[in-house]
Amino acid sequence: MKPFAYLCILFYCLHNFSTPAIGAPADKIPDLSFEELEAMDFDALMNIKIESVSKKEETLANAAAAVFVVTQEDIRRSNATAIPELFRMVPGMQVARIDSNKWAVTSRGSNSRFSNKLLVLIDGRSIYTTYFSGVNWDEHNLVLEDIERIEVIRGPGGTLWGANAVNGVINIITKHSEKTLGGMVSAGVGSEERGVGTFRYGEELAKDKTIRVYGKYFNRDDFAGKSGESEADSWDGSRGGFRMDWKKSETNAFTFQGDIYKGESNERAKDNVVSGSSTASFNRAVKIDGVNFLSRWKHKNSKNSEMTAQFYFDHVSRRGATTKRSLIDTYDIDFQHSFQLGEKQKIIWGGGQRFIVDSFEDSVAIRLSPNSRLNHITSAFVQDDIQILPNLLKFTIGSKIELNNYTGIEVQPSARALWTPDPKHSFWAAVSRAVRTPTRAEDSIRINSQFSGTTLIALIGNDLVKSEEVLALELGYRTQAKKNVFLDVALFYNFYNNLQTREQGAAFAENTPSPAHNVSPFNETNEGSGKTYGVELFGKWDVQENWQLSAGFTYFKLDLDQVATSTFVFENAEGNDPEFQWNIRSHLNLPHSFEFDTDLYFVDALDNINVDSYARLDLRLGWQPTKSYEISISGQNLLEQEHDEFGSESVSFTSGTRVERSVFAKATIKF
Amino acid sequence: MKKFIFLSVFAIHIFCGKSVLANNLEYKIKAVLALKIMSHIQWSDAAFVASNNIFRIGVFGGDEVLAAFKSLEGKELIGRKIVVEQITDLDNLGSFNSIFISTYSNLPQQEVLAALKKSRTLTFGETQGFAQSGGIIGFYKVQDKIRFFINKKTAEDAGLKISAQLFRVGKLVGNK
Repeated sequence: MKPFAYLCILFYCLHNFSTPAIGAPADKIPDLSFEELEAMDFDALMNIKIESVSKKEETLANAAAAVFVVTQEDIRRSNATAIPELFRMVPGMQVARIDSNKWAVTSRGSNSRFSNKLLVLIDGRSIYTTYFSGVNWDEHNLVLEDIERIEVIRGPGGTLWGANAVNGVINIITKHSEKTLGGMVSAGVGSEERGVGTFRYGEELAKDKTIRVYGKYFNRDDFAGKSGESEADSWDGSRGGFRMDWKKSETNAFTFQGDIYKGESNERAKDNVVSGSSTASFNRAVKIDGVNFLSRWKHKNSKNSEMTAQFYFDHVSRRGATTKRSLIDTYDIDFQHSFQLGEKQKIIWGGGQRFIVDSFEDSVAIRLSPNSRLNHITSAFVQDDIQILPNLLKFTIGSKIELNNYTGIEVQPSARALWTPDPKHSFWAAVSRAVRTPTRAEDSIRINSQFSGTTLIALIGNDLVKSEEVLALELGYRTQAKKNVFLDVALFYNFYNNLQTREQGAAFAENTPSPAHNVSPFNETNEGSGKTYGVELFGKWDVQENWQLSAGFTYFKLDLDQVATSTFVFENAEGNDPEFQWNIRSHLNLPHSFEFDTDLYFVDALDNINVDSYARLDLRLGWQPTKSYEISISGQNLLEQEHDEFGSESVSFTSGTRVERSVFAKATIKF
Repeated sequence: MKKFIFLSVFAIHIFCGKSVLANNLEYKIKAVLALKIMSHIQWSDAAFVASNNIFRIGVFGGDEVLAAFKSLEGKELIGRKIVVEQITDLDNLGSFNSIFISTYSNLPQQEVLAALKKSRTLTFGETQGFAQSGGIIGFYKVQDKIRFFINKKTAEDAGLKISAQLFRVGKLVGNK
């Protein structure tokens, strides 16, 4: 296989660098001839808008952080049908599909279905669940066409975004409603995606006041069952919503948006304690519904001063999982003000208040004490961008202070430097501290995990549990080495303290649930420490006018340690993350408005959870004769009939399934 | 099966690739602007002794940049035929009447400018601070539109007189 692939590449290079080729131009730049330009005067020439090398790379060049932007074009050409699938293209991100409706997603390590060190926001609304600080991705099957871009920031982001942005922050940014005027209908059908239908309509209500409404339905098939387990992970759901943007004046702009959704995520439940003496596996349906609303006011005081005030409400309900029912309502208000201080400094400061009201219904396997509680977070931050040497050297320094009802006050400072010796090269360095505050589960849960003979092994929450901490050192370099070649390198070394561990406590007897039994408790503690280090590379090469090639490579290493007296088998978690990952993506524009896209991914083995390394190939053939019509057919996981991407964890309660080869066809009409 | 898929993918790329060198609006605009700027400069006859009475334009940069400036070749400027050449070293730079130093130059910009000191060559550049650090005309961008700085003092040192009309469209800067 390998020699064959090398031959293909060699043949390709020889061919394309030695002979002219054919094909239709995919040039988006207006094709003005030299004569047309020569006939223009100075003013006309200097008024032509040229396409930048890439907005994406320009943004990146000015960031003193490991940032990757997934654009709408990346999304469209990926033919992904769910948001987590898009993160596969981001170097440094770890993405594994557990089953049809669950993903383990994180950056820079500690991957799990319950990954808790990655903060995710949609238009400034946090979507991690305060139950376990991870993301239930089955609640967020957005209309992918409505996404403007996704900014993925690897490394700590606590200074601006607050707790839980320990290993990364993802900002999903939807389109302004003025960009979605008119109608759009799209329909997809496939071997796994049995049906996806989306309707969207946008209208200009008045001058500078636009709105869009949308509806979406989807239905997914089961994946293949793991050895000895049946598959029962089909997924369906529907959602609708709106976004209205109103630019009331040059100084005031408002946004209102909201979504309502419901769905059913099926799964193979594994090792659920169903009585005081037995454990069982069975199929079950988890019913999800939710509603959210966000409003934002932007006020421009002057050319150099802007304020933003934002309020959102988010309600999520999940029924039928190991926790019989969970209801979480979040109320959040944020304020932010940025202004220029003198010629060289830009200050951003702000504050926020969040209230989270939760309510849980116990099962035999899980109970929370108390069942219902009001949690709160109060925060304030300030950040100063200082141009030490204008356009050459910039420092960014700041800190967030948060008061939460689990651990009290948390401080998350960071200092960053960006050096751009010339427009083609930039170097950056950062040192930051971030924390992951305890979750409701760590604080108050009792999980009846499994029976070992007649002894029930239980995990017990601890209201004295501390925040996990990271001190992160980062270095980066970016270069637009040539007009058509962009490179991005990031190195990191993280020191973690107070990592979550589970220490065995003294056994005790209990009568409920009957019959009477002994309990071997494991208590939530913070006896772990560790370090992670790695390198993340990304390169993009416009090989030819109609062909773009990009590649990512990640090396990641995790070393965990624990206090000598600890009984927890902590080091196993080192094997939950791949040591090596790489991907190559190709976007090729063919004659007659056809597009041919190839995505090849390699993920190293996950030793702790028995997942072999795998390569994954996705292909897409699209035809977009005009901006109004698009048809595409794609194949995912074409190299294998099926493969594992994630294994069973000790407290996952689901067996997961094997990702299958699939095909998917989609048609989109805009009017 | 895997071989078939890989072979198909590579075959499509091999037969459908298209050369990247053809069209670049940014450099075409810069070339036309350079032509118009050059026509607003008063050159002394002495400037054309070394260039053998033709108007020699040199380009530091890749094929893409050269292709845009090559469009100027054959045109007449102040009664002299324009010839455009790609430059890759510092030899005999003073024989060029005008030189464009792109960001893709294989030589450091400061070395090129140092070699041009005391010459009568009009220099164009596109890196940040070009006109403030020894260059004469520095292109820059504002909201994806092309603008240019003019360093009058450096131009005068090179014996080039810039017409007042140019100061209305370009922005005057001094040396750092």
